[in-house]
Amino acid sequence: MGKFVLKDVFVEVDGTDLSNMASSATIGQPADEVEATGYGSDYRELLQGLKDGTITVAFFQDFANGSVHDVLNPLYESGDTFDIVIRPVKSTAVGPTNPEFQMTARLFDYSPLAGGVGEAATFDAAFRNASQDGITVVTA
Amino acid sequence: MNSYKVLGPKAIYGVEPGDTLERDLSPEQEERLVARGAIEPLEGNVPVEAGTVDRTPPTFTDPDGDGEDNNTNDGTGEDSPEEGASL
Repeated sequence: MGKFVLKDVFVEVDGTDLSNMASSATIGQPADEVEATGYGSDYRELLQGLKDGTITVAFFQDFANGSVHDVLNPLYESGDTFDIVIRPVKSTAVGPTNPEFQMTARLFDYSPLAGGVGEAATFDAAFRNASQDGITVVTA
Repeated sequence: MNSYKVLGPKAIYGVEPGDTLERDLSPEQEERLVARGAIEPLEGNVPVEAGTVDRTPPTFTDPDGDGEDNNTNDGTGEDSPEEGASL
């Protein structure tokens, strides 16, 4: 698989396929930079510290029964953990060239309504890591 | 394995509305999905131990209906990543 255009990303939140309500997805997994420079050094030496995981998805809001608001609002209100799954191509099986990224997450912020006059109702949801597994890559 | 009727409007773990989902859900998740009308438990289900999470990817269904796996990389090459590798 070479360069590709994102057209069919799979977005599943708490088991619910919200792909057609998502317009962008970003998987972030920063690690702390831990200083380990000793005397006699010319360059800083950095170690990789604790890692973090955030999956940010831009959604179109939908208050229809069983849609975006019905999925996300209870997750935010309860603070429960849930699984979020992202895959580059929904219509292709999981594989080495179509890896699936899974994370046990919590939602700490939810903006049910955002946007100006004449704009589509959209919002960003930042799903934060909530387990010691971090973001797991599945290729089979 | 417990069974649920998917009520819609969204697919649940790859199972379209109207079809049957066979999956063990945690009590918390089952409660959420039932509460928003996404699934309906079928008879014979048994409670799943709290804290259990099934991380199995959803079942892939053949969109073309040709019986072929659309993924042309079978992962057997030298440079293929290790299965299940974590980042």
